[in-house]
Amino acid sequence: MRFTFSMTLALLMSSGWALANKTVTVYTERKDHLVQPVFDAYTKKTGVQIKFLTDNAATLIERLKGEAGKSPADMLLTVDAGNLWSASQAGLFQTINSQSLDQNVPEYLRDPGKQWFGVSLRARTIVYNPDKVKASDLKSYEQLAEPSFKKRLCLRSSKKVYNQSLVAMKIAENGEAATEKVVRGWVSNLAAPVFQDDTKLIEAVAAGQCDLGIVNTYYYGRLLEKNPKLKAKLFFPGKDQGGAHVNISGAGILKAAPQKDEAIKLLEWLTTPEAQNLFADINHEYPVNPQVKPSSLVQSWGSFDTNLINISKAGELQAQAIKLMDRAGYN
Amino acid sequence: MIPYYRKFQASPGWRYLSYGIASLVLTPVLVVIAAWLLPIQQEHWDHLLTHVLRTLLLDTLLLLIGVVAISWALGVGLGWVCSQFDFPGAGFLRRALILPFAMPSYVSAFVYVGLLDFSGPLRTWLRSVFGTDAFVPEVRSLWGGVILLSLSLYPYVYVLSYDAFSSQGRSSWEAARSLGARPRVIFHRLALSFARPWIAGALCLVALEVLNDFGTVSIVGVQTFTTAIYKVWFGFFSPETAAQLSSFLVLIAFAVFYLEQQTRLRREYIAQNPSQGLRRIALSGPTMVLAILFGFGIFALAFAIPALQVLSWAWQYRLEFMQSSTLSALWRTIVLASLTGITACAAAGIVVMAQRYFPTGKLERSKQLALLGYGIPGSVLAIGVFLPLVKLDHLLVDGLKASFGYGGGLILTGTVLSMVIALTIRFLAVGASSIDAGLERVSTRLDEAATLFGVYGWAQFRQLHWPLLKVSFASGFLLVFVDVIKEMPLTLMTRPFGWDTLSVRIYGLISEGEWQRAAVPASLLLLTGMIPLVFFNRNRS
Repeated sequence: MRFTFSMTLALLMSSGWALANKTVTVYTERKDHLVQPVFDAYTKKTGVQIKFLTDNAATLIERLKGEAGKSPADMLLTVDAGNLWSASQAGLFQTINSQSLDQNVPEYLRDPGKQWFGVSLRARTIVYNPDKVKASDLKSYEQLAEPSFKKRLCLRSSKKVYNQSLVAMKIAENGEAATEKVVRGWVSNLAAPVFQDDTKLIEAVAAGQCDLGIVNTYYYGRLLEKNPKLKAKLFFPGKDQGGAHVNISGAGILKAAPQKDEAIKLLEWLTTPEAQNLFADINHEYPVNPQVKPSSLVQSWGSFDTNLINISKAGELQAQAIKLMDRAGYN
Repeated sequence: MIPYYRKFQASPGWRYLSYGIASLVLTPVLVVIAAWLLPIQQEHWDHLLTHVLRTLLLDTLLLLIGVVAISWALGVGLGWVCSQFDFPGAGFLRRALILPFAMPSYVSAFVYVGLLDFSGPLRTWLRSVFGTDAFVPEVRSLWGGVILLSLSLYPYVYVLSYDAFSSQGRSSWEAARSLGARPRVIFHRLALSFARPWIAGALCLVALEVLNDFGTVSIVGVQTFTTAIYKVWFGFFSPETAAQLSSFLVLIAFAVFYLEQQTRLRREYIAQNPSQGLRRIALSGPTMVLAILFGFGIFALAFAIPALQVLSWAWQYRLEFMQSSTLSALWRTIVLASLTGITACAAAGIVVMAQRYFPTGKLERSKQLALLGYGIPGSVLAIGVFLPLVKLDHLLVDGLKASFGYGGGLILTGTVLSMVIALTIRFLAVGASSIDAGLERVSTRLDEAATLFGVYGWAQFRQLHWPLLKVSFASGFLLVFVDVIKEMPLTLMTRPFGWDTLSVRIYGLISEGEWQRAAVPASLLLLTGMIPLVFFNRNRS
């Protein structure tokens, strides 16, 4: 490792554009304030500088396709598996054989072809108003389609990738016909037009506009931080119901990465216990590394079983999921 | 005969520059249209045609008609009231009513959804007092979208109609007044038809803004053509199909510019004694109260309320104002907007003047093509600009490598230069609308007289048109400036590493749902946008 590394360095020097410090370049969909502190910690520890550029993943992927072999980017970091899947379909990533990544990231949270790996886990689950719903009456996402929830459900727009992934994973689990029936049930149970963000949805649940909804837990965490008396609680579907739906924030190393070795080291570091808490806690997310515990606030919402179908399905079935939601009238 | 004489005496440089600019704009547009050469993904199209397009076209059409109609009513109404009448506060309103230009529509939409939603303060209060809030209409709806977009877009109509009402056809109105016509009759029979080309031009910009809007329609949850484009691109992972869909928007944009041009063919709208002041009628009694309510009501809704909300959020995070990253983003925003303002107005000036000096069909089309950048959704245009640029960059780097052994990465992509070019392509139409409006008021007889005196070509521009149009160029610059600071997708896609502007910072925060923290860059953006608008007002008066 060290040898190849110094070789690379020597090569760079000879080509006349060596940098005083090593620099890894990251294209990231995860925004400044969520990545900057983590990258700063890495620079402090190793001296390796990290240059990053934020934008949404679809645009970054087009940018990478255009820059092709001459892209300055080493790593692409996104906030859902769908875009990672799409980038790997476009042939942007290289296969990474790394023992520590294989160890730190559970199999269902990484690409079966080893092109990308989850770095943090985001759970999308049921939020309810404890005044109106008893936790013991709750079971699953599918249950929310039952007529007993008529005019009680709030959902976020189907345009958000989080809902697209949820429906895609449900298709993987139960098949298309069954899932379409469930989605149609959800739509007929809506108490209000679909929301454009999870925060507003949780506020609507707390204010009593609807009794329950489906949200990512970290939005709940942010609201709870501001208002500890928030009238909303989380419920995680049990193992017998398929478990809670999860997605990842994850990354892959680009085929044309000028600093491949350094980029792999950074990715490996991101999955170590040292970085996992830093990366996940900053946004109330869950670590992917099973040896690392989430923050105490996040732990206080209870532990849960996750759906164990490989997360790459979320990308593979995303278009199918969107079409299903369009047919069901879910805006 | 005379137009031909003008044509032969003008210097051909104008013509070639105009073609050059038109082809520069056309490049990204063609990249978008060229998507039809890529494989057509039948399964996506089938789905769109069967399940999506019908409701989407209907919603887009309703939104378009609604926003154009309400912006027209607000803009023309306010323009008329402020230009013809005097009432307490009128002087303030004349200046203040254009401030909503500085307010990004996605910001005011978010503020209003927050205020008027079920969990917001208004409805919570209503429920606590009256026990019900059922009479409050749902803000997250098509009509919510129509009203929010109209409130942010009416200034286009207001500015141009106010100027037209203040300077146009005064002698005819005076004649009408002396014959006993009441202001209402003058408004309907004379003022509206005199001001028509300006109002039509403003409504074109409004229509294109509506068709391209993504922020506001997403916040209120309306399905439009643009949201479908994004769904196909981001959701189906199919940028090709997204570009194919966008090509229809290009077509619509072209049709809009073409129609606008047709409506003013063979008409001349030259002011008679434009400098002669018209005495404003002082209002009193109920009409005065109505005028005050109308003017201040719209100002409060379109600007004061959302601005106060943004400032109060920003106050909670006030320490972030002093961070060096915030200040450098502010500085970059100003640099970028100024550079783009200059290049966009220069380019717009060239295509507009070229058509004046060479009134031929070719130059007319060249001008229409040069405006098309305004007709495509920002993100799609961003790809259209980026792809040819990066191609060129590859060629350049390969060339340098072959001849000089250059071993570095790409050079052009991610430079401020490419940002300025991209944004110029987008906002050329904004600069052109202002310069065009100014030029309409300069009689072609002046050009002809100058030509007869031997002043033609570049000299004619320098000695005749530039002095007359300086103010229009300056207004165009200011409008482009304000548009650039609010712009997101192109700025995101073409910016160099670490070159974040205020709008980039806002994007980063709001895409994580951190609206209140985004108020810090948003309030700086508001203030930065207000300064040029104050100058803009000076220009006008």
